[in-house]
Amino acid sequence: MTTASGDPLEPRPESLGAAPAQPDPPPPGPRRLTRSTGDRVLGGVAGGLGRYFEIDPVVFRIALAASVLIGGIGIFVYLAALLFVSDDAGRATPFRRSRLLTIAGGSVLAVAALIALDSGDGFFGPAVPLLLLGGFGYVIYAALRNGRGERGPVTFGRLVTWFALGIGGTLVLGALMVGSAWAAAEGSGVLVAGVVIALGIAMIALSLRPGRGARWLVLPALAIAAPLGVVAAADISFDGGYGESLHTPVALSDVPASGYRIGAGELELDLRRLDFPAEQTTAIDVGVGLGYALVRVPENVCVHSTARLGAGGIGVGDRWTGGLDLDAATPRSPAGEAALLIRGDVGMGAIEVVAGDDEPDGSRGPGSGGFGADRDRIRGRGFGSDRDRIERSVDPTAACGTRAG
Amino acid sequence: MMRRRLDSGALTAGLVVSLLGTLLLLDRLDALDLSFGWLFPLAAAAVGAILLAMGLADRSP
Repeated sequence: MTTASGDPLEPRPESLGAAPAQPDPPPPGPRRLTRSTGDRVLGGVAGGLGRYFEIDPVVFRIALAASVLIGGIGIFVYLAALLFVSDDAGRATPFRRSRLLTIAGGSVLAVAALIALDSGDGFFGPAVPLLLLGGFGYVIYAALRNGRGERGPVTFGRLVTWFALGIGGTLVLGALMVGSAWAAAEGSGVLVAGVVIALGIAMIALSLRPGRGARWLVLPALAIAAPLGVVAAADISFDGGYGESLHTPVALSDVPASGYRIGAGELELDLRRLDFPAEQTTAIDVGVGLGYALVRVPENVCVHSTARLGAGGIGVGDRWTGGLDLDAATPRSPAGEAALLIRGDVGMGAIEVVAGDDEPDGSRGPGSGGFGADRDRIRGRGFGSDRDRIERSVDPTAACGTRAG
Repeated sequence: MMRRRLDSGALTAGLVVSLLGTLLLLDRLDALDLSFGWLFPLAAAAVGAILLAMGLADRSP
C-alpha cells in the first residue's frame, strides 16, 4: 500500500492512535496544461502557459504578440490552444471527444501555419530558426523537468548518460540519413522508400500489442524518409561521378553531345579555347547533382542560360537566379556575336559562368546561402521542370549585343 | 479477462509513415513528381499528425 506521501513504509496517523485529523487533501495529480479562467485577457492561453511553466504569463503574451508579426504564426498557435486545450474549470473543447477531428485539425493548422510562414522570399524567413531554438529549448526543459520529477534529481552521472545517449542517437540517426540520401541519389530510391513503408507496416503490426507498441521506430523511419524526400524534390542524381573534375575542350567536336555532369563535388569546364561560330547559338548541357560547377567562357561570346534548379542557383557574370523548384533563365550578356547557351540541371548546388579571366563570385557559390534574391531575373517558377517553356522564353535567334527580356 | 488494447498513437504513426513511404515510392517510380513546394508541408503535416496522435493516445484513460 502506498500513502499519500508515496512512501509505502510510512505509517498512517490513525494507525498510531492519534486523534482523527482533517482528511488529507487529495494528492496532486499530474500537472496538466489548461487555459486559465482567472488570469485571462482573451482565452486564458498565456495565463495557462505561465502557470504550467511557472513563468510570468506576460512573457507568453509578449511572445504571442511578437509572433503574430512573424508570418502570423501566433494566431495559429493561439487558435490551436483554444481548440485543443480545455480550461481549468474542466470545460472541454468542442473537439475533445473526437480524436479524428483533433488530429485532422492539428494537421491542417500545421500546414496553414507553414503557408503563412512562407513569405515568398525563399525559406520561411526568420521564423524557422526561432522555432528550432524554441523546440530545442523545450526539449532541454522537458528533460530537466522529468529528471527532477519522477526519476529523482538531476545528477552529474545522469547528465553524462543523457549526453552520451544523445550523441550516440544523433550519430545513428545521422548515419541513417546520410545512407538514405546516398542510396537514393545513387538510384536505389525505390529500395529506400520500401524500407520506409516496411517500418510503417511494422509499427502498425506492433501497435496491436498491449503497451506502447514500437513508437521508437518512428525516429529511424523519419530519418530515412526525410533525406529521400529532399533527394526526390531536388531530383538529385549522382550520375557523373564524385569529387573534382576539370574539362578543357579545344574544339567544339570535343564537347560530348550529352554535355558535362558531376554527380557530387566540383566541376570546372574551361571553354576559353573554343572557337564559337558567329551568328549561331551553341548549346552545352551542364549538370550538377550535388555541388558546384564553374564554366569559363571566352570574353567575346554572348552567353545566356536556362536551368532546372532543385535547390540552388545559376549565374552568368553578375546575373544570378536561384531558389527552390525553379525553372530559371538568365538574360544574354551584352557583348559578342557568337551565342552560347548553357543549359543547366542543378539538383542541389550552383552553376557559375564567368567570362575570360574573371574570378568567380565565391559569395554566391555553394554554402553561401545567398542565391539570387532578385526575382525580376527569374523567368518562371513552378513545381517541376519545364525545359521547353524556358527555352521558348529565351529567344536564341535574338541578336547578341542586346539584352533579351 | 484483460482486454487487449491497441496503441492508437503507434498505429497512427505507422499509417502516416507508410503513406509517406508510398508517396516517396511513387516519386521514385515516376508516377508523381514531388517538389519542395509539396515536401515541406507534407513533412510538417506528417510530423504534426504523429505528435498529435501520440500525445492524445497518452492522455486517454
